[in-house]
Amino acid sequence: MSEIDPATARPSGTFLADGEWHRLHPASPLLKGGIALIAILGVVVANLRERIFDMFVPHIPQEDDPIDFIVNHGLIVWALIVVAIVLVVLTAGFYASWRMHLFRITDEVVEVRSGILFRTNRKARLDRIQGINIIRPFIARLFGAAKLEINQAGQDANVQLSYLRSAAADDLRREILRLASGTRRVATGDGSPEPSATGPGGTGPGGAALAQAGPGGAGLTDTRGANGAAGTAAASGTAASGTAGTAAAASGAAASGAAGQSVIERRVSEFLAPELDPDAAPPESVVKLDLGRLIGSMALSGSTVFLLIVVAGAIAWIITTGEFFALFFALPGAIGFGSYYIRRFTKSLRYSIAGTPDGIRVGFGLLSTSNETLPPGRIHSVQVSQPLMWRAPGWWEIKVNRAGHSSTKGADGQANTTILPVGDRDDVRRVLELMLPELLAQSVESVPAAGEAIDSAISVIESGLESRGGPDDGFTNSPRRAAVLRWFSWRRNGFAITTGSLVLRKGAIWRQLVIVPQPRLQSVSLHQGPLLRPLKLASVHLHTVSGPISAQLGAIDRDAAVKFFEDVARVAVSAAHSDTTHRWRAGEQQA
Amino acid sequence: MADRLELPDATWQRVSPRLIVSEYVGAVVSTAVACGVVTILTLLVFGPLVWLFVAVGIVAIITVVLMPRRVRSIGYQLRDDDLLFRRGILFQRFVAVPYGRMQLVDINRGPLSRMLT
Repeated sequence: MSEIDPATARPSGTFLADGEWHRLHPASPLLKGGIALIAILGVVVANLRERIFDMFVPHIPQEDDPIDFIVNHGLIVWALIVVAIVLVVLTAGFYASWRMHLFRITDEVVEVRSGILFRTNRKARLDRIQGINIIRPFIARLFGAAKLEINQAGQDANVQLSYLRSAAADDLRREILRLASGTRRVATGDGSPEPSATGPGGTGPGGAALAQAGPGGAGLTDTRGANGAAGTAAASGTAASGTAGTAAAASGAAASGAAGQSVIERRVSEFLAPELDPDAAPPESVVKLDLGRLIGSMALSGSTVFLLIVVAGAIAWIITTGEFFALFFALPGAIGFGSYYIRRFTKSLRYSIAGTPDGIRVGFGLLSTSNETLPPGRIHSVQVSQPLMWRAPGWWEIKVNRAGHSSTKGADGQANTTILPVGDRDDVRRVLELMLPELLAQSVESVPAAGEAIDSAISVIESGLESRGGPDDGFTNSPRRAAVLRWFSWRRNGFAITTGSLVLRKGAIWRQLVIVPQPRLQSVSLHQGPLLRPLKLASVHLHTVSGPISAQLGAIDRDAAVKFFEDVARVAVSAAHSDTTHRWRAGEQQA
Repeated sequence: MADRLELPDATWQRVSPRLIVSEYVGAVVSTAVACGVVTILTLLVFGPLVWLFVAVGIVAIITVVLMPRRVRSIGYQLRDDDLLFRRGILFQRFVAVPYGRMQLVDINRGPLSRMLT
């Protein structure tokens, strides 16, 4: 580590993405592992308090607990020495690990060095970033700290910077995304040859705005900390003015949500504002997840049905046998279900999703929040699905496959793949528009000009969602003979190729629509087994990165399947050729 | 046969027919292992297990009979932008992988394959 001058390795807080080595938040060791230590100390102190109490109030001595043993054998000095040594070693270890944990962000890579005895050095290329997640666990939030997690493709391929100052984490994410997006190269053409040396100002069109947003960002973060602790009136005042400013800058659908909100709602939405800089993004979430819908979606979920069946079974058991010991088994189950519901509820309660120039931003969490940015082209497939019981209210859920695997959990406590926990058709449409601009095969600027193409793509999606199927709904559906295998859904079971995506529709009872952006397709396969062959059917599987979604479509007409296979194989190559999302704002740069 | 899947304009490269020999050797080895297991079972625990021997024999015969066709069903084609390959008789499978999506290519060659070249 001799090449790193300690003076240049500053603690975090100022501008971090300057290619120099930086340290993490000084409280990081405490937040990472020290909480447990504090808890242990707390237990010890609580026990000692009882002991001190006993000293003054005459009391029958307790049985031989460790402290009695130490006192009775005259080992107090030794015990204190041991405790002191342990404390010194722990503190020194924490300090050393903090000092040795350095990171830097250059124009090409994020690099982290850590470890005392066993050194690790991890480099992550910026153009391979799959997503950047800012996580604020509850306790870290009280300290105003945040964890920044840079997801790369693959298992255990994340770069974690835990912890940073809250404001610094937001700034750093924006800077990393700006470097990764390729705008730097455009800026270089504007006559600022070494942007990384000059800092954020003047590095491009967005640079000045970013610098200007700096103090505002710091102010917001302060209120964040205050709200995490108590939520004072002063904090909400600041927040209200801040939101008013951002709402004025917002446009279209985003602005409609801002009107007529209560102070608390505004406070909440400010809390979740995806981008602190109003110029950089519409700050409002495009989907409002209201309380009633959230509770309703949970009440109508499959796990509720399971719970009701179990309860009914237990009641029947008790009535028929007259024995109540079944209740003992029910208790752990009830606790499990309760915690599942509470977790899902608190996670989803503060859900937000919004588009930024650097991809969509999804936020979750009430006490511990996570807020993730997925740059364009990082979503490998999308599934819009509707369980049977959600049909009456018309709710849908959206999940995605992605190459990076965040270590935090999403709305369901599963992997962070649920993008929309529950939403109606308009929500689905808005979220899809954010996630899959390539579905419409139009860049954002040319959207108004390309009305017809969008209309057709949207009609494909809408018939994909709710149509019962039929000959002329934009999909190539299963033939009638497939009804042997797809009893109810054969009319609906089909595929479509839109300008930017491949769309599979299936399921009449559990409706499902799978959308695979063409550039994200890995490979395609065509199958036919002994069951499908006599029926002249075949199945097609679109391979993407692994995840909750399997883009598989069975029981479609053999000739149609062969044609689809060939079309998809051709389209996948050409789409991958013209794909520039790894440097998503670099203009016409080639892959 | 007319119901089988076939891609219209594909000219398939077939794998070397020597793969049949290699696969036969593998089949012989696994049959021998299966016979050994059944023999041990017979000696140790259960009495004579004639039907298990019969089952092993039937599987071996089916494998031997179908092997040439199975090897002949394997095909690949290096197209301009992707690799297309197929395999399987009963369960047919076609896969197209664009070259740009390949992460790595392995070549495995055991002693038997070396001897067969």
